[in-house]
Amino acid sequence: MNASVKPIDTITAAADAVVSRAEARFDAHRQDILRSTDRMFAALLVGQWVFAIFLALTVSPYAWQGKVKTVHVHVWAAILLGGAITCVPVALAMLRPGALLTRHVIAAAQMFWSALLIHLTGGRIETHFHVFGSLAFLAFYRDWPVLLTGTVVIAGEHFMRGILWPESVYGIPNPEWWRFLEHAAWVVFIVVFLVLSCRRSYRDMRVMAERGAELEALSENQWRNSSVVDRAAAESAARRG
Amino acid sequence: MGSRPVQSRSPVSGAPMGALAAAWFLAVVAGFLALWVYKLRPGPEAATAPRSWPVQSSIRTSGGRATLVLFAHPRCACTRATISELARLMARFHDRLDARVLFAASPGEEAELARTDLWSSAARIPGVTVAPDPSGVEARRFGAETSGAAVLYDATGALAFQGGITSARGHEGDSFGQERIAAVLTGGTPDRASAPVFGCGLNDEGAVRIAQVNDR
Amino acid sequence: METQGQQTRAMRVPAYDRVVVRDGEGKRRQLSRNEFERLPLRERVTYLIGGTAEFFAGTEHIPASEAMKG
Repeated sequence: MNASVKPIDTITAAADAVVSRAEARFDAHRQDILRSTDRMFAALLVGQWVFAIFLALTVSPYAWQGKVKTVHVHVWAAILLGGAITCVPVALAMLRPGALLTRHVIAAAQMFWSALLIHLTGGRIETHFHVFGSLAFLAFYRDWPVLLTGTVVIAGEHFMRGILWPESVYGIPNPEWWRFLEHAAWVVFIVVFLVLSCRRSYRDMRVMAERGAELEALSENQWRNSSVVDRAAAESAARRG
Repeated sequence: MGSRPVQSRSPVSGAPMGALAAAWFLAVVAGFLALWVYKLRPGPEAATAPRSWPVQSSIRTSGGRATLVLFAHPRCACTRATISELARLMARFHDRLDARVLFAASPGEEAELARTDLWSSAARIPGVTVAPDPSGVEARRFGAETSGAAVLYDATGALAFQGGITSARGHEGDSFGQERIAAVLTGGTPDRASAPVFGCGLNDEGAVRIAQVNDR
Repeated sequence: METQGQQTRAMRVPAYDRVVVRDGEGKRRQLSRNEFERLPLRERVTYLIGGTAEFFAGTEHIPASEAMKG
């Protein structure tokens, strides 16, 4: 052993290397999750777009004035607005998979899709379940701020509608300003639990990476504790082989 | 080991993509605003319905109960929501309200009406009678120009409400019209006796006009 | 593992509940399991590589390799 290199220095260097590898493994694992979730949403967004066009063409293809028919606004909304909602997040998923901006844009797009599908189905109460399903899908990122983006978008849409066109949402001419909270409260209810789930999943991933680092540290210790002769013989064999 | 931002390896830099995302967001919001402008645009302005039940009408009323007549275009997608809201009204007031749904029909088209899903949906509502309105005679008599227009006459035959029962085109949910009808049927006094009607035009005379909500 | 008659089964190693660590100057300190797991990863790894952490379940000494499995 080099007399100028203290044993503690080699231990510190080994520890740095172990921690660095653990961080790399954690980052790679997290990146895999983020990228695969981006891909899942890209496919979902496109699927929703196709479904929306099918829905509009089936449920409300025409507007009528007596016997005169024109293409219904819902068809144009499905094609154009649906396409606008879909194209940018899908492009980001392809060009910048795993990026922070990508998943926040996807979160906003998914909630915009909830709003558009509610429009296309005439405000049916069943379609509102899409909001809750979407929030659960967004939890796949295991990144809780993404859920906040989705919540803000859907709450903002209700707030905006409530201020500008109160009757359309609440059915009364002058709603108190807080009425939009009644609608948002159910969203907040599920988001609270999804955020807790995301944080727990994130912690579990970190614990897993740290446990791997600890086991690697143990192996390093066992190697160091083996006899000098054994180590020399092992190094010689490694050079030959 | 902490929570570090995960780096993307994309060659596309962040600032232009951020600007694109912001522009995209604003464009989508503008799209929704435009959609809502359309959905909240009422149908053509209606003529005022007769203040008391017109004796010339072919619709028979049962004495002692209020009568609601709803005029519909057989293929208007937006009227689906109106029919759903009619079902809610009837579930609540079936014991004090008779309801008729009249579908606009050209002469000879009456048989086709029964094959539309709107006719079937309306016919399934307990307490609702469905009938064709050949050449829109009754619709004109009651001043209805937009699919989804309803007129409510109380038990004495006096006009109590004229207008729509949805809050936007093709949108289910609470509305001014429903609240006002409910007020009449529960013996209260509605704040107004009319509400905007959202739907397709019943007749093909003239273009769709932006309607003003008239207070009688 | 222990063998009784024809049966051989693995002995269950208890989970550690305290750790005694020795710093670079040889000073010892005792930590609960929770306290040890809350140390920065680098510090824990340093103790494990240097073999300066001893694991105990009550008064029973647990080998580090077994302790890290639990």
